[in-house]
Amino acid sequence: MQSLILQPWTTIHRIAGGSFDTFTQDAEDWLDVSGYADVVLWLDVSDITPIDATIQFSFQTAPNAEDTFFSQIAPTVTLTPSPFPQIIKSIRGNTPLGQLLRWQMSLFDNPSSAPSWGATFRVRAVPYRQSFFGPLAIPGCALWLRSDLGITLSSATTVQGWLDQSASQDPGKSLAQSTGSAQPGYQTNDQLYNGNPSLLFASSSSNFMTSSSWATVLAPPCTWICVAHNSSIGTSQQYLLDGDDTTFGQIITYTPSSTTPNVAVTVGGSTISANLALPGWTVPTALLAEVNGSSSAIYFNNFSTAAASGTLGSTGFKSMTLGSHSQAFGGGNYWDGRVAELMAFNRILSSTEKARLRNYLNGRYGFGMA
Amino acid sequence: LDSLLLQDWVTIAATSGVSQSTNSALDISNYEDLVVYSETKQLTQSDTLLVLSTAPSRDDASFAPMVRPIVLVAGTQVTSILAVYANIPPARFLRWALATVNTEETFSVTFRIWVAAYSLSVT
Repeated sequence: MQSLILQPWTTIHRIAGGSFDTFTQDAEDWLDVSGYADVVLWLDVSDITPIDATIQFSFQTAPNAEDTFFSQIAPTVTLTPSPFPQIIKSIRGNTPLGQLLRWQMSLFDNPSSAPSWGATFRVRAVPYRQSFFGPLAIPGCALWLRSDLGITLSSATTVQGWLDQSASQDPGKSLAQSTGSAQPGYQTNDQLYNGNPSLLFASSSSNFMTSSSWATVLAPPCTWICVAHNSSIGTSQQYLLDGDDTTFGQIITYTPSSTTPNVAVTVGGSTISANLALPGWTVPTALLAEVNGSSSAIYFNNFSTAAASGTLGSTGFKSMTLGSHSQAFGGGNYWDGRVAELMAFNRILSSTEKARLRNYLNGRYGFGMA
Repeated sequence: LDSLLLQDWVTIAATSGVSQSTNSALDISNYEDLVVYSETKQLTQSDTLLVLSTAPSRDDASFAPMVRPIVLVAGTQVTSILAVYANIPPARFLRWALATVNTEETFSVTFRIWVAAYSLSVT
């Protein structure tokens, strides 16, 4: 693959205020990336001015040079001076790469009311002829939450919104938490998750997030996958998610016992559960739950050998509370650990599809899955 | 598919991390997928880690690990790094580095690394 310069080292200074608070790369410097499927951007930042400013950077693509066609291909990046590059991937399944690639920077926050703002940076682009895999490549993705996509922070370290990335077009599936004290924390560059971010849920702070009621009930047969771990040892059951705000029906829970740590999936009053080897779910693990009547199963990491199987009910998932028992019942049983990714499909996946998702999660989080 | 020699037989003894020089980093600009074969003849510390890093240019600070560090054991170890799935896909250059969990003790390792490099996907 080629290594292209989208922007050589440059320093840009702008006068703060009004339309000067956004700056777009000059058109003659835009990259023509026709012939490529996806791109990885290596962003180096040596300085920002003023040092307390929040300057955001986005990468945009369009099929031609008309400004109205440009759309963002990757999450917005907050510029931070560092000797090491920030690495940003586009995913064709989310936003296809157009012919042209450019950057745009904007002043998001200027707490010291500095009269000017700016940054010194460079951007290298490595385009690929292959598309990077994302869960949207698997048909039937009804929910996809990933810790680097669609995150809204209320401060530098707490999360108030987490947007669903699936193609369901259902805004009710996105998660929110408006109460500051209940907002989960946000860990950027979490080494436990291979340098990817994660959401930190502390049971002592009663952290949780909730969705609205979903436009379409996710009825079995369906598949849930989550990447998470738990930090506690005890006997109290903790709720990773609760998919129903009217009954006790559809839940994934974990009991961090010091002798028999146990994951349970309950749907429509029926439960299957799997014991984990000690010390339990204390390291990042991918859990896959197939909700499929009498052929239901739970998998850990490899997605090919079930850790438990049995019968689950047929009641659908209607909403979601992440990190707690449904608040319709007063909450409680708060999750004490981290969550990096969550997805749901409206069907049972084939072994090939599960293998692709395993490869994706293994590559992203470095589980060392077999 | 091409077979590329990233590192011929070498013995490294050190007390801290060691990286292949940027001048010796392998140019993999013609390839998108890699399968790395590391062969270890001897090692004195069981916590010796092999880090496979990539960068779009040969400057030291740009190199970033593509996969989690590999705990070396005697024998051959195979690591697939496919652009489609990798957290950080192979960029233009590839190099190795060694590290240990216990930085107090001298470690020694004898190894070589071959790379099967693919210009198209091997999914």
